[in-house]
Amino acid sequence: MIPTVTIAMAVETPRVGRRRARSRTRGSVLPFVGVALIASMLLFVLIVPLLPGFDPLAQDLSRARLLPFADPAHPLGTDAIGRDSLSRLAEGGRTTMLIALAIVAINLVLGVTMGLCAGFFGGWMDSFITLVSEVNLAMPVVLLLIAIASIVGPSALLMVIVLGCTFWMGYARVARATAMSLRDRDFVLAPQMLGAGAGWTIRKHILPHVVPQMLILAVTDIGVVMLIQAGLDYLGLGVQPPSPTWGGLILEGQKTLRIDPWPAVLPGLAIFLVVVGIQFLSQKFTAEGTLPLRKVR
Amino acid sequence: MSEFVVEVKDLAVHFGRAGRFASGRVVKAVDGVSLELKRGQTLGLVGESGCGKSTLIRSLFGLTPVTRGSIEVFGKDITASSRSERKRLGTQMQMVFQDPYSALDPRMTVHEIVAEPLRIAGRYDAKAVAELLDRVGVSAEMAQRKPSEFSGGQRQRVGIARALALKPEVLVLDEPVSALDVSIQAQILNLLAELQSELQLAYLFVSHDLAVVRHIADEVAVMYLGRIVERGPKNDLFTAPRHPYTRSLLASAPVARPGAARTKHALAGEPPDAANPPSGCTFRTRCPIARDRCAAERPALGADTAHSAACFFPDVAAREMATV
Repeated sequence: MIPTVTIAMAVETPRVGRRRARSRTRGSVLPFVGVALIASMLLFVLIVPLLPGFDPLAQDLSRARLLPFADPAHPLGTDAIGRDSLSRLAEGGRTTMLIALAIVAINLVLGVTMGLCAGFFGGWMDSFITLVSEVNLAMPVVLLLIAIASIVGPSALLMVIVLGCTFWMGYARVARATAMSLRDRDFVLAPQMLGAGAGWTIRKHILPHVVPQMLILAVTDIGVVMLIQAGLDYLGLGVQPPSPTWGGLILEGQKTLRIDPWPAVLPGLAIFLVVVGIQFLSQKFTAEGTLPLRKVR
Repeated sequence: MSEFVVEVKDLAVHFGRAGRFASGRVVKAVDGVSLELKRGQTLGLVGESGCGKSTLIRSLFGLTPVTRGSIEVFGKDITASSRSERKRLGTQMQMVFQDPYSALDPRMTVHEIVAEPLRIAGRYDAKAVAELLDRVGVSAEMAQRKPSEFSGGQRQRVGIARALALKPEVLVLDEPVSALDVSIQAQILNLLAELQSELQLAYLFVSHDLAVVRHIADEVAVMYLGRIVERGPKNDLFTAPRHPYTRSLLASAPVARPGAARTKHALAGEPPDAANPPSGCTFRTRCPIARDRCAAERPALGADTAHSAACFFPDVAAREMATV
């Protein structure tokens, strides 16, 4: 009797385990909440500018510091000098997201290029790129930005350039590791035996394996970059007033925080929702362990 | 032009550097190998893992810098060839890899994989790709699929099609069937034999499977620790091996008949460290008939005769190691 039981268990156990593992990843609603959050924030910043009465810069001191829902012309109220909060929130969101995308795009291109070169060529190129990236990691970005901004003056462009050139190391590291693991595979050697150059080999046989991983990293990074960028805007190192950004709006709203918290709370809430949405979405990738480079065997 | 399509002369590939700042450990992965491959013939290259077979092949394709010696393909030395020369070389000599799972890019379709050599050479032709796939027995409707949907044997067929894309006259086959099931092995070997007679291909067939080499090769060279220790026509070498290493290899091959007598001279132990090889004959540490002379001098491979062994005592080997 005993052997039968043992066999039954041996057959049954893995199936149950598998079903549980599946329900843990697939059943999670968080990624969908994340997508919904991101999508609604995107819709918000895209649709509000189309509404009548949209103007993030027009001042009306007679209607300053209106509370949300107090005036149908200003659904979210107005700030200390009577600018429409809804318009500024949407305009600021658009700027903030665009800048975050620009920074991540620069990081992505820079990091992938550096990582692929380091991993594929190895040798001194690898040592050099690793050194540069470590120096970069050790550098306090905010101090660097303050230093440069004190010389050339703060601007959105400067922030994009500085952040774009200082957050590429994560991409480089993953791209380098993948390139190193692939460079001695036969399918990477084969074209080189035909006289294909390094450019061809990297583009055709290594880059396609790296891109999916990079996109996952990028999605996760957009949230992080948005937070940093909001912090820098708040410090006055990024986009300059009167153009609104979420970080900048918090800076302005903070001055009247005690008497009228809304101008600071609303952009804070917006940042929170987008970043949380991105985190929820990126959980999907990490939960499934989707390192998209499928084991070839 | 000589009668040889590929002629390797005294080739040496050493890793690590001797010198004041170097570690001083030099691994002589290939050390003084000479090989000749005739048009339309198959040369079997046999040896256990780590003997330098793969390094030898890599150096044929310029993936490993050569320390000494020359490699002539159709009479032209390729050891210091530029990239454009290497492109031309690709139209003469191609390679089929051992592991059909890592030889094909998992993200490309089979059509793209076979088309790649043509694209690199700048003469892509979809019809030619279809013909190649048809010739190796991969059906047209499979062409748009990824390698992951193929079996090992089918993948190896795709690998062969890729190797044939530029119509080379020489194929280097690096253990092309060792990763396959036995029944599939036979199919691939038959395909290779058909292609050889059809296209007058010369094969350099690298393997550690003596039965396979015996089946497909015309001539056989046996490699041990970076050197060729015996070479000769297939039948001579298999029926009357002259080097004790070859004898041991043959003796260690499994016997098909149950209860059949096994010889007592199956190979024991590991090959010595290639960075620190024994003096004299490198095989003497595992050789059952080693004498004092073997430690003092290094036996050379006779260049004059068709069948020769790098051993001082081939007759002793024949007498003392005869199958029981």
